Parts: sequence; structure tokens; C-alpha cells
Amino acid sequence: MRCDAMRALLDEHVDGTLEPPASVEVESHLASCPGCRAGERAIRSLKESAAALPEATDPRRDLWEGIATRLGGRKSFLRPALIAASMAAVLAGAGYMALIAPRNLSAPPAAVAVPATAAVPSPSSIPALNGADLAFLEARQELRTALYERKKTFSPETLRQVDQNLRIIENAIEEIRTAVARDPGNRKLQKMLISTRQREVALLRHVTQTADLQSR
Amino acid sequence: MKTKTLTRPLAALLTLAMGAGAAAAQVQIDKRRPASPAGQVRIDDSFGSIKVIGTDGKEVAVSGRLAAGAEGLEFDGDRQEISIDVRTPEAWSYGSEDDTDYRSDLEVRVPKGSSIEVRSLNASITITGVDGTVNAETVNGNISISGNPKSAQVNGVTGKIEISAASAEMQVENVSGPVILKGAARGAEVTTTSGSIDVAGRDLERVELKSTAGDIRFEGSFKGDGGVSIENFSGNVQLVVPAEAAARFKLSTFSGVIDSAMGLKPTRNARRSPYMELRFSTAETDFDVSVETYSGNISLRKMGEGKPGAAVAPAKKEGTE
Repeated sequence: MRCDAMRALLDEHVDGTLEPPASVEVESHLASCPGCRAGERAIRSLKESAAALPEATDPRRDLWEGIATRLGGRKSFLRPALIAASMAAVLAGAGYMALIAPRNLSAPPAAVAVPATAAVPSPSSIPALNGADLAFLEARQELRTALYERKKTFSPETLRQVDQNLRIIENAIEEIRTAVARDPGNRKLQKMLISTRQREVALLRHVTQTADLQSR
Repeated sequence: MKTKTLTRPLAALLTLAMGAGAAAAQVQIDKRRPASPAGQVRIDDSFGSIKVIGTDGKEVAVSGRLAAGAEGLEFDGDRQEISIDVRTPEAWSYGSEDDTDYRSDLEVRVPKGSSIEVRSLNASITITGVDGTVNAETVNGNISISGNPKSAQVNGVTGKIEISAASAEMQVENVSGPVILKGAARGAEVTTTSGSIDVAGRDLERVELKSTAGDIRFEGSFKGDGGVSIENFSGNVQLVVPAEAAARFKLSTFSGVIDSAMGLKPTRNARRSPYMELRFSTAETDFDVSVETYSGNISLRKMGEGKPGAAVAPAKKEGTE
């Protein structure tokens, strides 16, 4: 089965609605194609994010409660602020920016350990990352790595354009996230955030699969 | 200085000699195989141009010029499934960004009922007169499709995609290149990141247009109980519909402006400011026209008003007058 045929089937495969023998063919293709495997994981992450949509309201609260529990301390008004300040100082240097910042495809994606739980605070006015954000970032990192590995398929000019377009989407995502943080109950904004993330994943999948097709 | 004066003409001569060598190594192609009237034809050629023409014939014929740098042309298969593959050396790399020696120009004549699959990297692809399904994919080349294909699925990255066909179903994905669909007949689905989208059609039942920063223009009539759904982040959206269009319109933007010629004025939502919305129905219908942007402006026009075929006209931001 070819990668472009997979595109039409991956959603159904993730939903578990694909009948055999198509499901068997998809499994077999996934076993041998890292690009489509990354795409499948990205779809799973996004579906999980979408399913969690109504609960995605105040990521900061989850973070502070989680940290407070781990530290075994009492919650207070000052403690979260202090923790936030110290974590932001560390993450602002490398972690947070490495997680959210658009990266150039000409350089290998930074090996960022995406935290599996809770949220990650962010410097100053940028909203914190919640579980859905992290799932998306993990998927995005995998696809970026897959694309980086295939970058020789494309000309420097094409890579530059792909980079530029990824940056457009990533800036859009950050802008919407900031708007969601200001208006957390706004479902239209939340839907727009998921939809824009889906577009980035779709772009990464599209370019990665195009590279796979070209190299066969 | 003297060395430079001598080496320049020498280098020019060498280049000419190499060019002549490459030209001499180019191969004219003229091959054919019998084919089923509704078989499948697959074409792989990374560079140059690919022209596919649907005919009343009962064969697949390949003609044109094979590039000096190509390793060969494979033309295989049975009547039901034929593949044409221009082999590019594996050692080829984009390091030089120069594909001159690898550009083959192919003209492929197929029975018009064939299903076509074309794959390329830089080649421009032109497909005309094919009635079967069309599937085309390229990275930097332009893609142009005309005729009446049963369906068209097209993927690009930076090239221009133009489909002038009364195709029932069109599905197009591009990144920075523009997409133009003329004659969309039933369903159209287009996604870009920064490339503009321009869709025109009649009696459309289902349209889905998505971009992040590309301007979107839709001009058409619709029927049935499907819908037109347009999403953009910062690109502008222009919608041109018949004055008598029967639909439920739902237009919304967070920081853009809505400019409607359909009678009603958009409202600002005080609770979720800044948020502009316009909702109205022109008839008892289940057909939804929905446009959502973040900062892109939305313009709704009636057909025949304003400049026909004009590019997206950004609405004026509030406070600019």
C-alpha cells in the first residue's frame, strides 16, 4: 500500500472502523513506514486532545496542584508564584522555547523531553502548556524528526518555504493559545486551536509522505 | 589577471562542450502499448514536464525527450495497469539545486476513460481530456487539469495548482502555492497554508476550504442540504453568491472585520470581545454557509456586484476611516 492511499485510511484505522483486509494492509504498511507511523500517532494525539476539549479550561491550576502534591507542601497564594518564577527561569532558557519555538528544518530537531504529565509553565505572558498541548507537541516533534530525516529529498528553497509555512502555523497557534488563555471558556477559540494544530500536523504529514513517495 | 582572462573563455568552451554532450545524450522516445479503455496508468518522472492527453485510442503512447541524466525509461504493465517510470540516478542530490540534466519532457496519450496517477518532484504536470479518476502529486512543479475527470486528487507544496474541470469531486492540498478551481461541480475540498485559494463552481453540494494565511475566494451557487465551510486564520475571505442564494449564513471573526452586501449588519459580541458575527437565513433550508477567521477579514458579495473575478478585497478595519 502506498503512503497516499494511507492518508485516506488512517483516520478510520485510528477510529477502529476499518474492516479487514484494509486494516491488515494498513497495519503492514505502518510496520514498515516511519512517516505514516508518525502520522498515525499524531492523529491519535489530536483525537485525544479533541475528546478532552470541554475540560481544557485552566491549565495553570492543574500544574500548581500537581507540583504542590509532588512537593508535599500546602497550597498558598505565594507558592505557585515562586514555583512559576523559578521554573520559568529554567524553562525560558531552553526547555519551553525548545518545545514551542519553530525550528529550522536545516538543523536537526532539538532532543526535547516532552513532559508526560501536567502542564509546563511559560515565561511571562505566554500561556502555560496543558496536557493537550504536550500531546500535540510530542506528535509535532516526531513528525519534524521524520521530516528532517528526509530533508535531502527537497531543495534548500523548498525546505525554506516549508519552514516558513510551519512558522506561519506555529505563530498562529501561539496567538490562538494566548487568546484561549484570556478567554478560556470560548469554544470557538478552542476549536480553532485544535483545527490549526491539525493543519500543522497535516502539513508535516503531507510533506513527509511526499518525501517518502519521491524516494521510492 | 592574465590567468583569469585565459580561464574564462576556456571555462565557457568547456561548458559548451559539456552542454553539447548532454544534448547529444538526450533520447527521443516513442513507445506504445495496448491498453484497456478504463485501465490505470501510473507515471513517475521527477523533472521536466509531463503532459497527459485522453484520447479515443486503445493504447498508451509515450513520446518526447528523455533527459541526458536519466538512467532510462521503464514502460511496463498489462492492459489494465501500465506504469511509466523515468529513472533518476540515486546519486542525484539537491545539493546543486540544478536539475537541468535530469529534465525529461513526456507526452503520454491514454484512453480517455483511464485512471491516471502522476507523481513528480519538480516537473510541471498537465492533464487534459481524461474521464477517469486523476491523482497528481508534485512538489515544486505546477499542476494543470482540464476536462471532465470523475474525481481529482491533487497534492503540491510550492507549485500552482489549477483545475478547470467539471469534476464531481476535487480534493487539493497545497502549501505555499496558489490553488485555482474552476468548474467545481459537486464537492471541493482545498487546504493550503499560505497559498491563496480561488474556487468557482455551480450547484455545489459540499465545499470545504481551509487556509492559515492564504486569501480565500469562493464564487458559486449551491444546492442540496450540504454546506460551504471556510476556515482561515489571518487570510481574508471573499464569498460571492447568487442574490437569490438559499442558505443559512454564519460568518464570524475574532479580530477581523465582516463586510456584507446581504442586507444585515454584523454584530459585536460584548461578552467575548473582540468577536464579530453575522448570522442570517435567506430561506427555509438546511444548507449552511459557514466562514470563520481569526484575524482575516470576511466579505460577502452578491454575484454581479463589484468587480467580477477580482482578488479578495480586504474589508476596511474599524477605525481606519
